[in-house]
Formats: sequence, structure tokens, C-alpha cells
Amino acid sequence: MSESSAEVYAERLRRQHVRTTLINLSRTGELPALPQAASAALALARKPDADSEELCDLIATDVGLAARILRIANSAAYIRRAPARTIRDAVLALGMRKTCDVLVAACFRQLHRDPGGHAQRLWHHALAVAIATEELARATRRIEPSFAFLPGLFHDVGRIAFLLADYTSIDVIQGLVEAGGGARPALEQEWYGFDHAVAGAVLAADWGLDPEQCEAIRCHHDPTQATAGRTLALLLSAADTIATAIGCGTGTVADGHDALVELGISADDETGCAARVQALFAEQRDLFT
Amino acid sequence: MKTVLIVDRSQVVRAVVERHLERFDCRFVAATTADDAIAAVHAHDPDLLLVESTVHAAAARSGDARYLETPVVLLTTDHPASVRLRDDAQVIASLRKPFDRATFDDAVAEVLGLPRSVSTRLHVAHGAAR
Repeated sequence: MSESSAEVYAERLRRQHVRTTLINLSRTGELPALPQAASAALALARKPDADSEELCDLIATDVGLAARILRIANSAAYIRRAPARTIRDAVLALGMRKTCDVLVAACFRQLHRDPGGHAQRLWHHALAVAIATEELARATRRIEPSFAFLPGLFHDVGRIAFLLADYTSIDVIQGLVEAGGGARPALEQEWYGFDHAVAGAVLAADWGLDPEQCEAIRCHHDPTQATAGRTLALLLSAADTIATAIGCGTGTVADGHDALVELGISADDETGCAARVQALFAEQRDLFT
Repeated sequence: MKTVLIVDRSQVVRAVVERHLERFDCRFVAATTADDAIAAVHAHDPDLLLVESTVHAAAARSGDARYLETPVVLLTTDHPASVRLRDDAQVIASLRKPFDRATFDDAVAEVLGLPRSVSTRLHVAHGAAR
């Protein structure tokens, strides 16, 4: 077996280990899944020749989703000159790619339910990081902003997977983190044998994200480990810091200062970006409830 | 009241086990090494040991009679050495990390019985039937 095929095999085993661990812990015996509409939207977003009719048809299959897309298109964050009255108007107002992002976000929101409030905090964090990643991509011009939103949204999906499968242990780990008992990834590693970034990358790959986006999710706490997804990993790390700075953290100290420096974001730029993210977050946080 | 000794180097494992044990009528003490575990057995006379497999192997090798008389639930990994230890007569069950609450309850049931929440539910159900 060549070195590269051995690496591929080892990676496949690691991914299977993550899936098996989460499935064994889960009461449902399943991994968290995106609703079908979100999977279809992700597939459409990847399709170079997708047209808006397909997206309109997809949205029209779900009345609740259609109402939500209209509401978002008519929100202060996205409204154009005339209000959107139909799904087609909404898709035109938002654009194909953004409509897909919004649709996926609306569906992803549904996974953030738990009795203890951890999921609500994680949802706000996910949305803030998604907005911040897109803003930083725009500001640094290192990456297409439309490529940045979903990795930002999904960067901590591993934590949601842990929460859904193993609430008690995650509650214990959160308590240890807040008491200064260690860094979250290290504590997760002790219990699961892998951390939430690794679990998140596996889920994101299963959900159809691009390999570069998945690598960025896997390395968002340590962008130096990334290769193809390094720029995106830096953006995620920096976005995590900005989200924490605007009050959308998750009880841990963000470690993205080095990423901000490497991206060439000055302290003034960071302040300006944080203000824009805060304003966008305030506009969008209630759109997905 | 029963006493449980938890022995694992990982603070997360100890904390998760303690959280699960809160639902049982028992008190618990913790240790991190084989030497500490043997000392704790003599100090607290536990009814049950929940011990990480490699620590158990080291503690068992010491030949301490009190330690060897106490029932053990192994906290294991996939490591072959920990798999072999499951055949040890002192070991009444093994828990592969990470484990869920139901698996934990099953593993300790022989010594600790049912957790409080289950006992209460059964009692209420019985009363309602009458």
C-alpha cells in the first residue's frame, strides 16, 4: 500500500470511528441530519448550471420554509426597493447563493434544541461566526465571501452532534471549561478520543460541503494544521474571535488573535468589522426563530 | 449507603462518572493512580471500584488483598490489554469510553441497584395502579 493510499485508508477509519462513536451514544442511533430541503439546497448551490426555478420549486415544497424565506427577503438586512411578494421575488432579492445559505441556515436552526440552553447559545454563536466569516472574506478579499458563510455556520456542528448524542457529558465538559479546568478540545479528546472540530468536519463532509471547507472546519482552532483550507481556517478562527467580542461566544476564550494578524486585519479594521457583524447579527438573529 | 471509588487519570471521565452516580444512593470518592486507588480502598472501604483499565492492571499487580476483593467495573478503551482484563474474575462489567447513561446504569446495577429516578418512577407507577 502506498503512503498516500495508507493515509486515505487511515482517514477513512478515523471518520468511521467518529461516526460510530456518535451513533453509539445517540438514543436515536443516527447521526444528526440536515432536513431534506437543506441537503437539496446545498446540492443546488454546488451545481454550476442551477437555475432559480429549481430553487423556487424546492422552497415551494415546504409552506413553512417559503414563509420564512419571504420574511427574510423582506427583512431590513435584505429588502430591496419593492417588497418580495412571491418566492421568485424573494430569490431575486436574495440571489441564488444567498437564498441557499438562508435556507440551509433556517433548516440548521432546527437542530439547535436542548433543554439546558447550550444549543441556543451555540446557534447564536454559529450565526455570528457565519456573518463574521463572510464579512472578513469581503474585507480581506482572500476568498469568495459566498464560500465563507456555510463553513462559518457549521464550524461548531461537532458540538451540536455531541450535545444531541451525549447531553450529560457535554454539560460536564462545559462546566469544566467554565471552571478553568482546561481547553474544550482537549477535554473532548479525553472523553471521545476526538474533538468537536474533527467531528464537525466529518459531518460537514457527509452533508456535502467542499473538502476545503471541511478542512477549515477541522482546523478552525489551529489553522496552522490546514493546507488547502488554510485561508478559510484563518477566517473561521478570526471570525470566532469577533463573534466572542460581540457577546456571541460560548464561554471560552477565543484563540483567533494570530489569525487576525496573519490576515492583515488591523485593530481598527477588527473594531469596524465587529461593529458591522454586530449590526448584521442584531438584524438576523430573530429571522430564524 | 454504598461507597464507590472512581479511578481514572482523566478529569472528564471522573466528572462524567460522578454526574451519573449522583442519581444513585451512594457516596463517591476519586483517585487518579494505582497507589492512590489502593490507599483509597483502605481509607474508604468502597463497595465498588470504577477503574480505568491500565490503572486496574497496575493496582491488581500489587496483590493488595482489599483491592482484589472489591468488585470492579472497568473503564476501557479499545486497547487489546483492556480487552483482556475483562476476563478478570474481579471485573463484574466493563464500560467502553465514551459511554451513555443507560450503559452506565446497567454496568453498576449489580452493586448499586437502580438509580433514584428509576426507583421513583416505578414507585409512582405502582401507586397509580392501585
